Amino acid sequence: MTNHDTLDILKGLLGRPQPGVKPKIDVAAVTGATRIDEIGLDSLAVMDFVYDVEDRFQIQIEIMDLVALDRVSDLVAYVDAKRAV
Amino acid sequence: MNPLRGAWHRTEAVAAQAVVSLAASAPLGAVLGVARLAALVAYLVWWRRRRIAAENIRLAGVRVNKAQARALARASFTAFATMVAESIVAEAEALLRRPGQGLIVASAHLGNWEVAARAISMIKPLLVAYRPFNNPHLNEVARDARQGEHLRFVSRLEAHPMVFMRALADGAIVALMIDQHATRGRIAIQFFDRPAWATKSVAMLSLTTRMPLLVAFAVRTGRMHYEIHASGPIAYARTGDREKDAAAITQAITAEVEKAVRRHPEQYLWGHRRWRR
Repeated sequence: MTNHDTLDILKGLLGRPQPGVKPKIDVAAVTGATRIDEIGLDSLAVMDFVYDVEDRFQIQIEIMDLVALDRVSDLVAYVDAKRAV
Repeated sequence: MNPLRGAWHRTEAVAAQAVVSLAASAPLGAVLGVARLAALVAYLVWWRRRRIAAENIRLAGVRVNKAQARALARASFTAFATMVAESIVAEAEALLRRPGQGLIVASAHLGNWEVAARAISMIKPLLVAYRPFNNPHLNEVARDARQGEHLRFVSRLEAHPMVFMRALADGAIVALMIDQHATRGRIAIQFFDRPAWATKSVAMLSLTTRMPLLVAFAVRTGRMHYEIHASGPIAYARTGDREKDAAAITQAITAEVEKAVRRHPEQYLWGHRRWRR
């Protein structure tokens, strides 16, 4: 799996409809350079997203690592590194 | 080390862990009852310690009479066993006091939640998520009046998306109310056997950060006197079904709230329309 594949999967998870929540994110505009804070997720959507990423990739994202991630590309690299272990 | 002694030490450690695990999930009354029984057995069987204790009591002059010294020694055994049992049961308090340990606290509008926040913030920094008033000016006044040196109030609607996770990563407590009707990001639960909606934020914070989740209240015991009751941590194994997991945790918290409200119904904020659809 390449970085592009991981990014596409992450974007797919971002675009997944949330129960009772109107979608607010322009998933197509999300790139590796997008800051995670600026994706447009609220605090609950961030948590839903983290859960989905962990479940999809069968990894555990440590909270200390999560809060240190800045851009989507950092998350992609983190996920790939975790999967490689 | 002698291999036999090593094996004995490992057996002791396994037994101690088993006792801690059992005690952590048992009711306090049962744990204290078992502790009293264990103290009696120890007093009867452990004759050497019993004799030392009685002799020390007589040497100290606290009791001169042998029978009285033995009675006090037995009471001392019971006090020690009770202390050990209370220490195990008070896991919630231990978590609260562990330096650098992030903690999620779910609470409800029972007793005095403002006092609870202030008291807990004296132990470690506390970030409280709140739902703002419709009047922004009133909101500002209320927030400024409630904040303290280590107590910060953050609007659920205006919060930075990572604010709660960052606070937990920094070893702070994040407190959220669980007992109000939720209109978004919600989960269906049962409260007093009636269907209701609750925020799923508490459950999701627990599921994604894996920080210990406690349920706590400050119950009024007299004028300006309160007792803080904390239970948990609530343990739950993820299934891979996000909504199901969030519902299970939220229901478990709500059950704790309901138990507390049943114990102190006069201290609950019943004026809220909790069972809105």
